[in-house]
Amino acid sequence: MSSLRAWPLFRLSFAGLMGRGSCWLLLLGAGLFIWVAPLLTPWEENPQILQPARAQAAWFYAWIALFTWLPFQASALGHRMRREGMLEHLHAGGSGRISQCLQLSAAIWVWMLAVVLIAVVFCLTWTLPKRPEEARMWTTLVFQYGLLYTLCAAPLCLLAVALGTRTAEVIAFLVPTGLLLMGLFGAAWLAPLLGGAESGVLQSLWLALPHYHLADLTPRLVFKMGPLPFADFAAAAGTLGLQGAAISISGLCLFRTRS
Amino acid sequence: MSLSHTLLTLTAAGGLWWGGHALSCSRTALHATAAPPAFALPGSAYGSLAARLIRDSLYSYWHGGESAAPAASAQAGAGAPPLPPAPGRFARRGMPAPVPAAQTPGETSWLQAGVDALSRLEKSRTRRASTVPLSKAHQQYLYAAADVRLRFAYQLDPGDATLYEILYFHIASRTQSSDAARAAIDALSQNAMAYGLREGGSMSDALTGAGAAINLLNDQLQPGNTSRDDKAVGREWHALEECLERYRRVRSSAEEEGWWAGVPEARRQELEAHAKLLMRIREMIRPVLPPGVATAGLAPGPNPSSSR
Repeated sequence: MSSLRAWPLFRLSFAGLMGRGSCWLLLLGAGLFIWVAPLLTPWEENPQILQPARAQAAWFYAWIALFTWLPFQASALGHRMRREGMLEHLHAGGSGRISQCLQLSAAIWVWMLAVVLIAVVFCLTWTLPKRPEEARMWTTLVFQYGLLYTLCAAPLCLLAVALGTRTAEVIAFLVPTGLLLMGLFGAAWLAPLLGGAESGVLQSLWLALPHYHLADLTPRLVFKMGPLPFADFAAAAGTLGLQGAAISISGLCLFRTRS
Repeated sequence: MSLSHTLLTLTAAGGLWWGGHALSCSRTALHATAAPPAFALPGSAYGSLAARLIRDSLYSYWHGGESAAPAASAQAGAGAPPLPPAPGRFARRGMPAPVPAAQTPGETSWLQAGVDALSRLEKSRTRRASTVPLSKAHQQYLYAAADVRLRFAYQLDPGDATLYEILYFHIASRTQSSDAARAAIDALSQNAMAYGLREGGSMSDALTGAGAAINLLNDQLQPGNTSRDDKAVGREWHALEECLERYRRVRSSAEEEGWWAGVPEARRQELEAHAKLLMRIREMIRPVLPPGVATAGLAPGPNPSSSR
């Protein structure tokens, strides 16, 4: 018996997330954090009205959400759906494995895009520079940042969902978080170690590691450096897209519907 | 737990926190005076690690946000000719045109090309692409941001020589009134000297203390200084000698006990070069000392505080 509605799993998990309510806390926390965080730092002589600090806080919150709420909810969702047998039920009803995985991830992607949208809207309204040529550059930069962030975040959420159907919630949460940590912060430390090594094995290991630091355009916002040149942006987007595709494919392979 | 319960709990917690904050602000007896630092991080090994990490990202504030890490270029082979000096147009007048840099032949495998492309992408991530200059308010904000990070990093590790010197220059060049600047700089340097001489200080702390003593001596012994205090000069000279002696002692005991070789090569060279520089400066200061200070350097200096 096929469902009368399209994407039943997406509607189910989306409604479930909204019912649990922590997603609203996520959005509320975004607004609070953006407002409060610049005030907590002891800048004297009132330059905290200055906008790059707020833009920085907005994107910082987006990355924090990617470290905490997004992978946790994704892994919990995948684990819950498999444990309750919903995945197997729908699989027997005819929806494919890949479709189910994408529907579950889509429920998480909605909230990821919501966080990105909050950051983008905030950057484009309250913190927009006054001069028109600067405003144009700022807008381009913000959209570049949004796209690169989405390219990083979407495969990680999918991986968390897929791992949640396989293992315990905590392990499924730690793996994307570990990848993100390594890609963001480990790069500066590992680059001379692995990239400068003589052996080809270590160098290919360095190329294979995630490179999420390329998506961190916050310095360009804080120092108003203008958007990335198109060639660099395309190269970064290409790299992140390829790595994201690899992560997504491995996630889709790991997805399990049998309860 | 439903959403309304969550929000109520959060509001209650926020209200309690605010109430406590308001109460403790109004009663001075409740102020935490000289509270021990969280997890004893400042001055510890983790503080030093955190300070070093902050320091590296701090440099970008002085480069307009661009990362200060050198761009990874392919290592020049042993047989490559030395790079010609890069003169300006007028200096180059009459000289033959500079030869283009020899391409390293063929060794760039696709792996190496990939690694280089990645490092180039990472470097260009923070390269300035905007021709619009920063506004005055924005520059003020960046200065305030750098200031906060610098002070925080120095607080985490008062024995870090680079951070001390940067903070010294920062205070000296940015404080409005020169009296306030002088007072702040003197306090900073005295602090660093005491920290360098404390029980269980490391080689790096000793070198920082020596650098602080040199800064103080430099201020005192300037030709235009009318308020030279010979006793202070004697104290500072004694502190300088002690710091360098402490460094020598720790270094030789490190070699004897065998842990000198465990220190990374780059760090070892850094320490040695810094110590050589400080000793050279000390030899330059010695002839300028007021008479009787160098020989009377055995006068007991201030007791180094044993606890930090």
